[in-house]
Amino acid sequence: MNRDQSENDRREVFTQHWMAAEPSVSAYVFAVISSFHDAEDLVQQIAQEAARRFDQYDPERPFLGWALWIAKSRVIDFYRHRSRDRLVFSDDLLSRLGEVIASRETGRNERREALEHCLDSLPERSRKLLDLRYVENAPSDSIAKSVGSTSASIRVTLTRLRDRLAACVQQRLAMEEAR
Amino acid sequence: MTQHQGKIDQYLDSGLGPEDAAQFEQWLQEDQNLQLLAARAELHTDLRRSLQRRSVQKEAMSHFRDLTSHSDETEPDTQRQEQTFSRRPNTVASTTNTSWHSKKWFILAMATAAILLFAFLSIPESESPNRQTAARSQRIARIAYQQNAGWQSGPRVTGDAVGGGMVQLQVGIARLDFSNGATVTLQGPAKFEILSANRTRLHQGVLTVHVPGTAIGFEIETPAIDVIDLGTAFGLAVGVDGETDVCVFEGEVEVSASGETSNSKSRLLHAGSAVRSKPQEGKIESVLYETNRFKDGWPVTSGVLQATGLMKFVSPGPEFVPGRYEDNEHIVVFAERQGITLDSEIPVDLTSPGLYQRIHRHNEQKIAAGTTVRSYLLQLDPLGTRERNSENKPRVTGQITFDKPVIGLIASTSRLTNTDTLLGHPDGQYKTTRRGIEPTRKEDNLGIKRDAVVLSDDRRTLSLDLSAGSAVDQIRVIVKETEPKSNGQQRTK
Repeated sequence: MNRDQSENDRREVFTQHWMAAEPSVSAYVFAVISSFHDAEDLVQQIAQEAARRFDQYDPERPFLGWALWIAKSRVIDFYRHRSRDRLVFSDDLLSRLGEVIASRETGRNERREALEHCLDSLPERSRKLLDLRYVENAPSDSIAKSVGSTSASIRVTLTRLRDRLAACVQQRLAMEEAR
Repeated sequence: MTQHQGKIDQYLDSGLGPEDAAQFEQWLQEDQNLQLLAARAELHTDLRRSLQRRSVQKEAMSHFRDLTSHSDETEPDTQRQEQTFSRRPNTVASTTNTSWHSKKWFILAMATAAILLFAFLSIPESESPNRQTAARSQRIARIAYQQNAGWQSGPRVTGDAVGGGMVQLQVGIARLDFSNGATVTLQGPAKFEILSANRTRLHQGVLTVHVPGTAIGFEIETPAIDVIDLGTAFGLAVGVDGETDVCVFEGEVEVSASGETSNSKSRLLHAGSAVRSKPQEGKIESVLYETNRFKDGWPVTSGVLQATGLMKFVSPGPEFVPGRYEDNEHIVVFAERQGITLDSEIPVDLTSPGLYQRIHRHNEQKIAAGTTVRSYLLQLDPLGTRERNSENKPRVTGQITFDKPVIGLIASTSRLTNTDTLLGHPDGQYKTTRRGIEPTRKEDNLGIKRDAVVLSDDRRTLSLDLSAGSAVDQIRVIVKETEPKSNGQQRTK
C-alpha cells in the first residue's frame, strides 16, 4: 500500500515536471529536426525516456535542463541512425541551444497564453493560411497553389504573420506587466 | 529583423540545402542569433500545438453536430479511413490526408503526454475524432470479453464493434476478436491501434494473441519490432520507452526491427523462444523465455474467461503440455486444439448441463459431424504416488468458465485415448492407462468424497470437485466454435 502510494506520488511529481517542461523540450526538438513527424516522434521518445529514468533525476537541479540533456542525446542518436540527413548543429551548438531554451523557461506559459489571445484576434484569411501550414502541414508551394499565389509570396506572408504574432505577444505581456 | 526571421522561418519550415545549412550554422555561432532561433522555434511549436488543438476541437464539435442532427447511419467512409491509418505520406498530395496526419500526430502527442505520465490523464477532445472515425469505419473487430475494463474513451459494451483507430485500455482485461479470426487480449494499461483488418500496432502495454490459419499474416507493430504471425500464438510487451519483448507460445512468427532506418533481416522465431528489441537500435536479441506477465491475458485469449479455486490455466509454451507438466496442487487446464471440424460424429460421456458423479456411465451421447470444436484437458496429476485409501488424499475443487458453450465432456480412459489424436495437444504425451474420473469403488469410504462435476445451465461454467489417488484424473472438455453447416462448408472466413 505504502509502496503504491509513493509510486503514485512519484508519477505525480514527474507529470507536473513534464507538463511544465514539454513546451520547451518540443521547441528544442522542432528547432533541430526538420520533419515535424520525426520531431513529434522524438518528443514522445524523450518523454518516455525521462519517465523511465526519473529515478536518476536530481531534484536539486532544474528538471528542464535534465530533460533537454536527454533530448540532446536523442537528437544525436536520431541523426546517427539517419545518414541521409545531416545535422546542421555541432555538439557544442546543440548544448548552447539547450542552454538558451532553458534560459527562456521563465514566462514560457505566459507567452503561450498571450499567443492564444493574439490568434483569436487574427483575421480569418490569416488564420486559414496558418492552418494550411500547421494543421494541413502543407509546404509553401502547395499553399500558393491552393490560394492562387506564389510560393515566395506565401513565405513572406507567413513570416510577416509570425512577426505580427510575436509582436502581439510582447505587447500583451508588457501590458500585463504594467498593470 | 524580418530578414533574419525569414531565414529562420525558411529553415524551420522546410530545412536548408547543404550550402545554406553550413552558412546558417556559422550564423548561429553568435549568441544573439541563437536566441532568435530559440524564440522563433518556440513560436512555431506553440502555433502548431495551438492550431492543431483548435482544429481537432472544431472537428469534434462538427461531428457532434452531425450526430445530433442526423439520426440515420452514416455511410462507412473507407477511403478516408485508409488515409487516416495508412503509413505517413512522404509528400503532400492531398490536404485532407495530411491534415489528418497532422491531427493524428497531435493526438498521439497528447496521448503520449498522458501515458508517459503513467497517470493516463484523460484528454477527451483529443480522442474523439479517432473514435468518430472508428465509428464510421467498417467493423474490424468486436469486444468479445472484458473484465474490470476501464477505457480511456469511457465505458464500452461487450459485443461493441471496433473500427480502425486507437484503443486505450486503462485497467482490466479486454479481448478483441477480429473478423479474420485473430484474437487479441489486452492487459491494461495498454495503448493499441488498429491500422487495418490485418495490421495493428501496440504502442504500449501487454497483449497476447492467437491467430488461426484464417488470419495468417496478421501483423503487430511496436515502436521497436514488427511481428508477422505465421499461424500461432504469442505474447507482446511494450514498455513506456518502447522496448519490446516478443514471446512465442505456439507455432512461429517472423520478427524484424521496425522503422525506416532498419535494414535488418527478418528472423523466424519458434515456440518457446523470446526476443527483445529497443526502438531505433535495429537489433533483436534473444532473451530468456518468460511468460509470467502474460498469465492474466493468455487464458482469455485461449477461451478461458475465468478459472477459480484450484483451477489453474497452464502457462503458454512447449513445455507446458499434457504429459510434460505436472502439478499436484491444482486442476491444471491445458488448451489442446482449436478450429477442429469433426469429420464424423464422436461419442462423448456427457453433453447436458447438470450434476454428475459418474460421468462416463452416461453412455451413447454424441457430437455431430461437421461441428467445429475446440478442446481442453483438465487434469489433477499428483506428483508421486499416494495411497488410494490414504486419509491425506488431496481433494481439489475449482471452477472454470469458457467463452463458448461446452458441448461434450469425456472422462473415461478409452474415450480419452480414442480422441487424443484428433483433439489432444499436438505435442502432448498421453498415457493409455487409467486416466479418467475415478468411479466410486466399494473399498473407498462409501458415499463420501466422490468426484463431482457440475455443468451450468448456460454450458459455460464447469465446477469440479475431484479426489485423486494414484491414478491421474483427466477430463477432456469440448466447446463449440461453430454449428455444423448443411452445405459442407464448416468454417466461416
